[in-house]
Amino acid sequence: MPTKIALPPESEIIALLKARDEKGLRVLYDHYSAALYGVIFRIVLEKETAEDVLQESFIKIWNNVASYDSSKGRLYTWLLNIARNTAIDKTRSKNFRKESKVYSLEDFVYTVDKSHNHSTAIDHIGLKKFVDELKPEQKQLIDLLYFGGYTQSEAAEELKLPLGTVKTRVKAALIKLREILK
Amino acid sequence: MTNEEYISSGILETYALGAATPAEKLDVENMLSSSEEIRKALDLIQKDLEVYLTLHAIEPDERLKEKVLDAVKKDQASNPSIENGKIISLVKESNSTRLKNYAIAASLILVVSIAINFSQWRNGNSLKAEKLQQDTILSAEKTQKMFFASMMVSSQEKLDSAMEELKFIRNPMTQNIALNSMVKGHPMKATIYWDMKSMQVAVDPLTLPATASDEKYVLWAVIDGKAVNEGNFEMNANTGMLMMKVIPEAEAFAISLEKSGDIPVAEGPIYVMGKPSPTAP
Repeated sequence: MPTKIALPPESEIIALLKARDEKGLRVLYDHYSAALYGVIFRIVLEKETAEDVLQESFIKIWNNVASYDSSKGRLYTWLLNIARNTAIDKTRSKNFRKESKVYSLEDFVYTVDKSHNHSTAIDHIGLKKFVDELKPEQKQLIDLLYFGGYTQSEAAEELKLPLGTVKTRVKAALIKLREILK
Repeated sequence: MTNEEYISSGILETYALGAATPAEKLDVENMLSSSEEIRKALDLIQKDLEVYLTLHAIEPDERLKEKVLDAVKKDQASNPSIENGKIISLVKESNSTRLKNYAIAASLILVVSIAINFSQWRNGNSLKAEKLQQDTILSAEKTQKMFFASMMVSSQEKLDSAMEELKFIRNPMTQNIALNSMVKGHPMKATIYWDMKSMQVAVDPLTLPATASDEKYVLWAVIDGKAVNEGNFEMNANTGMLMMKVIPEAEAFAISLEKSGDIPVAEGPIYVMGKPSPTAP
């Protein structure tokens, strides 16, 4: 089963964070750092930068927790999006582009698939199952949009597909995702 | 479009993947607040995505934990303006720096004058001391006068522009449109004032971050689903309300950060966005 990680109830963590309790920060780190770091690494593809971005993300989370509204969305999604957006901002910053080589689409997809071999704390079988069951073009699209920060039109351009096809494929990919998770 | 059609359109998936355009994003967020059904549908998609992303988890180095937690605490200590996560806007710096410099100069000259006086008196050179003292007092007075003059000018300038702004804002034909942050985790705000009679648009960049020397904010008006460049501006500590163009119609306004102000389509990130009310003012 891919859903192996037991997370404490979000409401508990939110209460601790809103009270700006340092314990909350530790719980947050203990439970989410691996997931956030995984997403960040997949985007910046470099250990040192990923560590910086993780730190930056936690600072943002801590400073913005008051503006988090649980009625507007899930905490875990909120956290993942902060990590993802901070990482994408980093890849778009001048210094990053200067210091690192520019990845082509092929590089990106290749590295993403390669980095599955990276030591992960979580169930490999789950991910393997995904990779096997999700069509390669569906996985590629989810990864391009989420990890690559592509808009749908950018993805359409890169993949040389009509925008309409990209849109249908995104929907199909997530439907497939749900089926696999069942 | 019914809720069902909206849910099956694929826009929620696009939104969850962070790939929605600013206009789509705004649309989804509006729908979320008005329909519980759509909200639940998005929740399900986000849960699926959470699981997928969790599968990519990588345990960071052990040593990173204390480093990150320390950095968070240090940042909090050095950022007293961030209290309970709310960003309290700092008082905008104005000519007060110049005023402060004059004030410091004036008091320094006085101190020097007293010091010289004292040392000359100790040396028994009282005549010379008196002359020196007079000179210093004169220059202190001069500096003080400049200080007050500059204060007056800057107050008058401030008052005039404040009156202009107030007139524009208080005009019953002016509609104000809140532009909210499009960047997750960055609670930025800006306001558009739109005179529905003259169609003149003004923008108050409220809490947008300052621009670097090679950056500009571009104001976009969304007309028939297309974003049109409506002028650009820079943002620093002194930037207040800015008069922009006359814009006859717009479905939405957005501000993006760009490398150049003169571009036909947005290239940089959209920072804030908002929709005018169809019924206002």
